[in-house]
Amino acid sequence: MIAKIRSFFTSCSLPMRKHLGPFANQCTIARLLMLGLILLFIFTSCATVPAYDRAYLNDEEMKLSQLNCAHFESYFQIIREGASGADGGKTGGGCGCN
Amino acid sequence: MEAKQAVVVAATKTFYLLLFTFFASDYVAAQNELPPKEKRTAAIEILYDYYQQTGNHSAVTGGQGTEELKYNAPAVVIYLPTDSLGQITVKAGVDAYSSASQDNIDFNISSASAQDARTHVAIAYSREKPKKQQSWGANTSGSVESDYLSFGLGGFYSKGWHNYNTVLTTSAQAFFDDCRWGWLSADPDRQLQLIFPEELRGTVWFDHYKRYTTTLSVGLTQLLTPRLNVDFFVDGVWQNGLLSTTFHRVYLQGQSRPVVENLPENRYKLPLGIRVNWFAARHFLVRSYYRFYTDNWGVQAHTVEVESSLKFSPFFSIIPFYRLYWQDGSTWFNAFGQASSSAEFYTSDFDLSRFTAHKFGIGINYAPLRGVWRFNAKGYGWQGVQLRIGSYLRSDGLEAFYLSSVFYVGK
Repeated sequence: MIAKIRSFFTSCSLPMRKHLGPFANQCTIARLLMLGLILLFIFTSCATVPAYDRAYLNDEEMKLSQLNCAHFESYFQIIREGASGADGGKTGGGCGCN
Repeated sequence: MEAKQAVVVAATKTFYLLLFTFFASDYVAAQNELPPKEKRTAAIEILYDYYQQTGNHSAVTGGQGTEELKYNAPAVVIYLPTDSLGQITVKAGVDAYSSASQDNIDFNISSASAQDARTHVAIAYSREKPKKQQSWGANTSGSVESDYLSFGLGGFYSKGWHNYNTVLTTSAQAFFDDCRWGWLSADPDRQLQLIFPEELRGTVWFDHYKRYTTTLSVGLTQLLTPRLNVDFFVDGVWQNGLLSTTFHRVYLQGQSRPVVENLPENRYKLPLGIRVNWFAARHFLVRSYYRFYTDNWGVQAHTVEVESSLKFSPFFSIIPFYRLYWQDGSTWFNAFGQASSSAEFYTSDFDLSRFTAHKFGIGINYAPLRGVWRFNAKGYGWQGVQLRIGSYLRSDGLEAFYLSSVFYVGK
């Protein structure tokens, strides 16, 4: 069973690979998504932090997104680099041809 | 044996169901992490950003030539609470820039294309249901510059559990862009049209000018300990339409006359990111970020970023930061004069080349409890400031310096 599941993600013989379009041959994607799912289940099974114990977590600099003055960096990085997204910012739109 | 196969089929279906869920949204963290009470007060943010770069690989001149650019970007953000649960956010700004690279579209020194402006407006509405630990919102945005018009629409929904210990945020965003030139022309008889390098005009290189971008994604925030939180997020992006920049030249092998950059009309992007923040000690916290990115143009990238915050007091921090970015170039990229004339697609834009980039700098965050300066007796005034300066160095020789600032005005 474990061997089958392992081969499912490593052999790239995904039954729906035709729907994955350009990513069909990228085993890495399947592996990373699997890792993400594992993280998802780990996160949701964690013990909760009570509201009265969140003094550090409520600090402005602990927020799980870019700091306000770092948004512009994200803007020019989208233009100057081929990659974008997964940081709460834009993933397209606008010119960026400077 | 059949039972085992059934289990595998069930596991497969579960996987794709979860995969679909992953692609069905976007991450709008900043809006949702602030405690509700902090968002209820009307406030203004005044932003000013400055950026300058030098380099010698301009795509306008086929992958060699100056990339000098200076960019000034003032903006203002207004937060208006509609009631105790709703809020309208308006952001507007005018970016002014001078680009030696764009000046070479027509090879006339200091021509009008050297300077341009980008005007942008975004309006968002968000609403919370604290008892249900839910929030939702919608936004629209628009931006215009002489060779571009962009219109955006989006929305998000988030749901928390265990008193916001776990928050799942989903959203969608779409941009509708028009790549024709002439939007800011003062000429009443202007004609909106695609702009090509001067020597290549007169040929119909493209018969369409629209570009569409759709983003669906999801983010999962989890408080792990009283000092540690983590965020996992993924975007699914589909771009369609004119993805080439029509004034980018490409010099093919053995040909002295350039052609216009030609890129596929579809692009699928898949970035996956994780952010971990750790309040390591009373006066020290670490913010870390990793992203893996891949797309169907052959670009694969890894990003690692670390920021540490040295908190000299609850109201004053110094924040050094470092970011490493590594990118494997696009299949369609070739340097000056190296693209094959038989290639289906080609570009000499070094933003799509193989390179490594380092970004480093330092920031400060100053926000005293009673504000920096009060304007009146009601308590309105200058509440704080964030400053950030940094350098961005790319292995292909591009060097940039930037400064970002945010001034908070409110109560």
